[in-house]
Amino acid sequence: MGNTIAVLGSGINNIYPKENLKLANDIIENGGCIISEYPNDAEVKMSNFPKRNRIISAISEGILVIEAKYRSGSTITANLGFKQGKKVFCLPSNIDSKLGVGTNKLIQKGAKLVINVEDIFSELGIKKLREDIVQKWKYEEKNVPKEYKEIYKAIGNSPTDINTICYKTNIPIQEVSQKLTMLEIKEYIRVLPGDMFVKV
Amino acid sequence: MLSIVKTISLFGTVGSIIEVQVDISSGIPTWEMVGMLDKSIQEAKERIKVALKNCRIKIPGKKISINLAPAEIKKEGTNFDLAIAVGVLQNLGIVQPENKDVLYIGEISYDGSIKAVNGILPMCLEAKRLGIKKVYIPYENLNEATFVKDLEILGVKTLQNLIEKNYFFILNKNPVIKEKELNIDMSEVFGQEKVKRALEISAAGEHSIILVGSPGVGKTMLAKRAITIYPELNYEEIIEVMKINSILGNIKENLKINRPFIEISPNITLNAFVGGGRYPKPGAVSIANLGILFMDEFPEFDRNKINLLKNILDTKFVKLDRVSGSAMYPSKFVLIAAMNPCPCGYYASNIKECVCSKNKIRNYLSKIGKAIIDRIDLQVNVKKVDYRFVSKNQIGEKSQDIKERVKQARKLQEERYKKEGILTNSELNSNQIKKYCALDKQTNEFVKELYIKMGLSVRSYNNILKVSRTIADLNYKENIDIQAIAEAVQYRCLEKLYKEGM
Repeated sequence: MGNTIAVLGSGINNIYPKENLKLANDIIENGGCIISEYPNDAEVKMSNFPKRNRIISAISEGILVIEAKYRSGSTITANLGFKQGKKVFCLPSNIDSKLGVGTNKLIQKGAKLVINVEDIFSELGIKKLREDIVQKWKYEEKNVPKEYKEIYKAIGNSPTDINTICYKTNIPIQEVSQKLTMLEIKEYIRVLPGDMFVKV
Repeated sequence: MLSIVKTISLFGTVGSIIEVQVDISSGIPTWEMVGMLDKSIQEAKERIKVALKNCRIKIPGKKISINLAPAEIKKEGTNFDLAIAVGVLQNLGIVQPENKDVLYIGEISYDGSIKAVNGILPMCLEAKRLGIKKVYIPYENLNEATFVKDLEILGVKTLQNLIEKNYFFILNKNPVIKEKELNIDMSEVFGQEKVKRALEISAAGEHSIILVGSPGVGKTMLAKRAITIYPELNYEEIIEVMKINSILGNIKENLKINRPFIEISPNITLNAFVGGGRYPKPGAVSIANLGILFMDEFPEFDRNKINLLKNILDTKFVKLDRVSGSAMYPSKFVLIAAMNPCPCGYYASNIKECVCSKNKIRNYLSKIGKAIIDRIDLQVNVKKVDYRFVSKNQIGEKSQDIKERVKQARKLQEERYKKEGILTNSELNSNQIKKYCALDKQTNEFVKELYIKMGLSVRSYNNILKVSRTIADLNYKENIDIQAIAEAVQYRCLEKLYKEGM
């Protein structure tokens, strides 16, 4: 598995925004690193952020943009990547989606449209992955206890809200609530913001 | 010669007996009134003079001096008119003095008729408490006074009635109170099972609840229908509700009274919110007593009001301090608050994308302090209803059915807390929680696991226990079990929102 590299637009003694200090520590603790082209005590300057994106793209082999608004920071990085001759990958989006304007434009410019992980591998010349990594990525239906199965099934592959689960299964709401908690602490499902449930 | 007649003065809901002392003696013809009187009582002089003249009663050309004792109490209102007039009439020998325990309440108009006044119900109740046996009140107020038992109440239409001893009595001492038809029902809401269940729990244990959701998902619609699943008011509760309405003069001829549902918006004035005025009148929090207070756009209420609300939720009454004393009004209501998850309203919604920056969301959430959030037991997300629910044409559960379950759960609580002097689970203090929300070993282990895995804050522990207690009551369980706890933790959405947003 890889590690995280954070590229700062300020000196490494000035983590910005401040609440990301914990994140910075976590990155280092987990074997990643934090780099910056500025002196250690350099102040936070807004104009530095787009500039440091050229370092992000330069140290990468390829750039994958999941979602990007029109003229967002990720588009800047990807465009710099184009100039540096890097490979740029994008997920396609609905043309109505605000968060897809940037990525769709990048695809127009020549970024590779990505549907699955093999699309990236073929471009980077990776032939075969180690078996243990493949196992980890493979989607498999977990073997949930019998009493939770119906609710687990109703969650489907995209985030689902509790009323929909209730509607699909016809189980009383109190029972659904209760079983969702059980599924969550047994780590079969996860809750996203806005009380949307997804399978782990 | 001196004659003394009694009446009553209200401050808040507390009454004090006022003696009207009328003295008529020879001297320069004047009419003096003393005893810390407000403008409205000073004007009584003119009203009574003209009314007596129009009733063909001649006022002698003597010095008339009137004192309203005790003189240290500030007095306001037009309800003293009748007592003053009777005092004069007794002094002139036109009306015979009765024994001491009689009160006269009413406003007099120029033609000698007696007008209705506000606050008759609390006045009569207080009169009874203070040992009064007989009260004369305006005929128009007879209706609301029917609620007072063991007190002789006589209605008078005009001064002439009083002189001729031509009184009106209350015919039916057991008033039949009809509930107003509400014309709304929970079954009209499609889907939204989770919110409905949360409202049911809220009604059963009187838990405060906050609905978080994007504009147009039906927060207000749901809140308005919450009142339909509350149990009907009992006799004592009706009197409590009527008292406040009587002070405000809201009781008209028909005696239809419902559990209050009061909706307020952030631009409400402070006086209208908690009550106010020189002689303090009750505000929205007291009008909502024993019912629901619905606060829409909750984060837009200013700090001042939120802080007051915090105190009121703890104490269950409002105390309005004035130079002349402090008035207390009950304000035991269930709070239903509604808010958007972020300024644009679409954070984590299934309708459209949120355009708020993290900073904007943080500012928005920080407007509602943590202290008030701790007092809201149930926090639930309201999602947009899927069209499938509507097209399936599946009728939801009727309010009446939910109400039956709520009543049953309330009954269990009432029996359990007989000795504690409380009625519902939401009123439990931390000592009582230890006693009544005890968990067995297995459940305790489960709660520990929950806290670690779900990252709940320790502050919410008591809220979760109280809500679990109510869920157990709704499920006819004697003790809180794992199922109850597992359901209760699903109603902590605001806490999660805070964790993501801050």
